[in-house]
Amino acid sequence: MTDDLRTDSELVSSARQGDLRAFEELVRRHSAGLFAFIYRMVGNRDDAEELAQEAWVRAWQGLKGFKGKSGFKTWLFRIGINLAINFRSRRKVHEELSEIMPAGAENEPGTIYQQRVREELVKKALQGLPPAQRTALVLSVYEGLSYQEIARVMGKSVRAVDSLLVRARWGLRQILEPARKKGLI
Amino acid sequence: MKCHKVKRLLSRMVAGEVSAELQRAITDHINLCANCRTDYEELKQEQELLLSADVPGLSPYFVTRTIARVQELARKKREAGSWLRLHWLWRFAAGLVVAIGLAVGIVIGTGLGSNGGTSADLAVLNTIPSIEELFAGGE
Ligand SMILES: [Zn+2]
Repeated sequence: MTDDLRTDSELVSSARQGDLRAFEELVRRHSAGLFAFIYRMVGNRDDAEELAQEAWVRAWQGLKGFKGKSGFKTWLFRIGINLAINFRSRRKVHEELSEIMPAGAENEPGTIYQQRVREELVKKALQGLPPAQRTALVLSVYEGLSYQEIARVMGKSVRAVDSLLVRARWGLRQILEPARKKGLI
Repeated sequence: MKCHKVKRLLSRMVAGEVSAELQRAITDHINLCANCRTDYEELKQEQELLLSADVPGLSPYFVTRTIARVQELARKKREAGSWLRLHWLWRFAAGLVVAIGLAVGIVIGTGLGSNGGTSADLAVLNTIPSIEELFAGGE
């Protein structure tokens, strides 16, 4: 059977025996999703790639300890969450919302400019939230996880997840208020 | 339903985490209460804003680079394992040599002790060159 037809758990059990080709298929299968998730968490492409690679290295090293109770993707994302939450970027972070306009962006066609402004706004807003709130929000909005699933991934109760999301939405509103006043939203 | 309760439930409403019954109750309230309606509209706008933001593409070499790093780790681990095995073998060999040396020493020692050390035994000892002789020979 070719690797791309095998299920995650079949690939995982081969990889645990040291089969690097099976592991490579897992990397191929889940890297885009893992990267997107980490990117939402850290807001920088290079940082996100570095962390995603680190997550894979840790997954490889920890494969023997993976009991398969949760799915492989859930387990992998947990590694990604831990890395992203503990990550402190060495790159310069702009604090002011007035700095969100990328240099030279004014000369771009209107729709592209608007899209870039929106992306910068989202990045800024997510980065402004405390890590646990940001994690719950990213898992809810972008991964489409239910409260129950978020609770499982984050190791919290559904009640705690609800509370995190209420506070995240409230925080988001505060952070985006200046942009709303400027008519950017 | 009271405003504070509705406001608390709005994020669940946006995430689709409310029952049909609760959703009806919230909608009824929102239709009558301008304040909660504004909150809900803003929440929906923020949700749309979040969803409108794309993620940059992953570098095309990401998988290759990641696998290369994992391969390197696997190679190092293999090498470390074989070095440890080698190390263990050397230690075993050294231990064996010492043990044999000791055993031979004991046998000779007991041999010497049992007959009180004959002149023949001493003659054998005399054939072993002294340190001075060894150095003299080397010049
Ligand atoms: Zn109300």
